[in-house]
This record gives sequence, structure tokens and C-alpha cells, in this order.
Amino acid sequence: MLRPRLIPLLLLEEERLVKTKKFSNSVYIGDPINTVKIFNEKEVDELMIVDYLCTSKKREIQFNLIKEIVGESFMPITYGGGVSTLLSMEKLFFLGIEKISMQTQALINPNFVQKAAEEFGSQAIIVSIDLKKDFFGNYYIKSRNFPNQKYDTAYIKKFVDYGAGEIQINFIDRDGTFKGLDHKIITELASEIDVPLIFSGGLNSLEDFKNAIDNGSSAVAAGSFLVFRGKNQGVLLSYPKINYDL
Amino acid sequence: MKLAIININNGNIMSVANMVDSLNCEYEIIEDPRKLIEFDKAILPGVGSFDKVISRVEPWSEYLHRFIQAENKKFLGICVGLQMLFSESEEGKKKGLSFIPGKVKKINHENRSLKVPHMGWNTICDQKESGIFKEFDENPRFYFVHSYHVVPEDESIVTSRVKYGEKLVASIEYKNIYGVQFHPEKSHKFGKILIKNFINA
Repeated sequence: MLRPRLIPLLLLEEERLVKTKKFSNSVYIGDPINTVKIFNEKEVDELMIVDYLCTSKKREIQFNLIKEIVGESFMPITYGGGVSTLLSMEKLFFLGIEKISMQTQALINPNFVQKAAEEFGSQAIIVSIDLKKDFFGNYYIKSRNFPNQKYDTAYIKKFVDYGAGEIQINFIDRDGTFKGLDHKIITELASEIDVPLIFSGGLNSLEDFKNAIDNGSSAVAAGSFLVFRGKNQGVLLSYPKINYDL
Repeated sequence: MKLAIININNGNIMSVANMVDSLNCEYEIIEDPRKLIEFDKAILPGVGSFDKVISRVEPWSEYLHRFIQAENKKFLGICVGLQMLFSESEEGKKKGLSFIPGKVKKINHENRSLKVPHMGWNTICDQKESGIFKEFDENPRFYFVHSYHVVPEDESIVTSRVKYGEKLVASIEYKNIYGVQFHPEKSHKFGKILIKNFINA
């Protein structure tokens, strides 16, 4: 059977890996090359590396670092951050990146998603959306580099029509909080969207993971859950053995 | 033994190269089709849409044909690198290389709960003996990512399948061609064993 995927989500800040809470207050968690090596040895399903300030700080994509990271890992790796041209995508794929996640570029110019999908195939394109809940419980799409947009499934669906092979939804109010995923949104989107869905933000247990899968998610990406341990939140990389016969 | 990794500029080359490298096997990434015949084995990695990949492989067509016709050569096609060996695909308008009789079809999409692409780790079934399936001490699982699957005219060339709704072809062995729909270069130790088997085949 097809195994649901649990994906370590690693945030790159310059040459360091950090973990955020609600996508700010970053804490240093380790050296990227070493961390990826450890996750590779744990035979994780897949890995996601996001240079999350690359676009807003107008930084260059760190190709050399990515090359080193990918060099010793034999699993699918997704890269996100600062990708705005087909040429940079081609470079990333050549280095061995399996999928590219785009956010700002997709919001500003959805046609770019289409161009990228035509060039590299939908399976290599993830559109990643940061979702936030306002005071009144309404959801909206937040970006560091683009005006907020009202959230509805039609808005997300549009990216699938443009050729996104996967959609990732980040519950950014829950990021690093261990509050659990937002199962209302998971259920709602899974019934409407035909491509695999990845959710992240707040994962707190294997039960939570399993519920996400039961509700129609194909994968869950997690940072804190796989990086921190205990109440003191000491850094300890872990990856659970999941019984898939559940 | 001389191993070539064929670079038609469609990504994923370094992943395959890294894996071969980790097995302490020498290889050359080749971009000139005329060099192909000097090698004993060749791997054709494949990512991308069918027509795009076909247009890039066209200059190789005659050389690939000569390679697979030659005795004692072994060829491994990965993902679209397998699909393009067939004569046509529902994904594109271009003709495939037609080395293997059969078609490439879209994964059955009638079942709405079935997401396409078929993406992630899956175990294989209906496994037959094949040079690339030796030395697995547990049922191997591999990383798949595809929206299309191959349907060979001759079922007997199928060496394993993968269950995703219906049973899809996961690997074939035809004359001196091995083909896998999954990505051994992304499949941890399972992929490593498979690539090692190919190197030793």
C-alpha cells in the first residue's frame, strides 16, 4: 500500500537550520548538512528544506549548500525559498532536488506555476500556502511578500489547474505550538482537491498524524515534533516508526 | 565495466550519480550520444513531461537503439526513462522510442479518493525473478512519483507491480533492458541494492 508520508520540515536561515514558533522567534537547531545526514540515516520518507527568508530578505538561493545537503541523501528532497526562474529550478533539479515548493512566485504570478509544470512536470511542483485565522475565526492567506488574500477552496484549486502537483498548507498560527493540525481545513480541502495534500503546523502526536491521513491528507510535514523533545524543548532529532497496518 | 549516466538535461542526474558513487562504482555522465557505445551499462534517469523528455532524447534515439541491440550491454530506464521506451503516451503527442511494444497510460482517475500523481513510498507485488531484484532481505519499498504508467503488450516482461487502485507495472525486464517506474535513487537502502544489482548484472 501507499504509505502516508511524514516529512521533516527544516527551515534554513542563511547557513543554519532554525525552528520557528508561528514562523518567527527562530531558534538554532543545528547544521543543515549534519541534520540531513541524520534524517537520511533514519530513512525518513521525504525531506523538505525551506530557506524561508530567501525572498523577503532578497537573498540568493544557496546552491552550493543545497548541493552538499543533497549529496549524501537518498530520499526525495523538496526545496523552497527564492525560486522565481525556470533556470534556478533547472539547477536545483540537476543537483538532485526532487520537488520545488513555491509560494511568493505562485501568488504573484500563477502563470509561473503553469510554465514550471510544463517544463518539469506537475509532480515536481508544490504550491505552498500559509494559512492564518483572524480574530473572528476567518481564514486568510498570508505572505511576507504579497497582500493577504481571502482563503477559499477555489483559490487553492486554481493552483491545481495551473499545474501544481501537490498543495501544501501551513497552519502558521499553530507552527511550533504542538496544538495539533487544523482538521477542519484538512477535511474540507481533501474532498475538493485531487492532487496530494501536505499539511503542516502544530503536529503534536502520531494520533494527530493518523487523523490527518484519515481525513484525506497524503502527507504531514513537521518541524518541532521531529526536532524537539520534552517540555524543555531540547533539540533531539527523532523519527517515529509508524505501524502502517493501522 | 564502464557505466554511463545519460544526461539529457532533464534533472535528477546528480541523485543517480551520488548513489552510484556511494557504491564505489565509477561512472561517467555523458552528454554526447556518440560516446554511448563505448560503455557496458547505461542508466537513463527521467523526470518531466513525456513530450519534453522525448524531444530531448531524440538526438539519442539511433545511439540508444544501437546500444540495446548490442550484446552484453545492459540498460536501465528510470521513470520517464522507462516510459519513453514505449511507442506512445497519453501524456503527449510525440512518438516514443518504440523499443518496447506497448503504451503509456494515465493512472485511472475515476476513483476520486485516489490522488494523482501516485506519490510516495509503496511496496511492490507480483515480483518475479529479475537481475535487479536480488539480495533483498525484506519486501522492498520504493519511492514513486508518476501520473502515467506503462502497459506493455507482452505481460511476461513485467517483473513487478505496485498496487494503487489497480495494479500498475512497477518494473520490466525486456531483452537487455531493465526499467523501473519508481526512483531507486531516492529509495534509501532499497534503491541502493537495486542499483548495485544493476551494476553487477
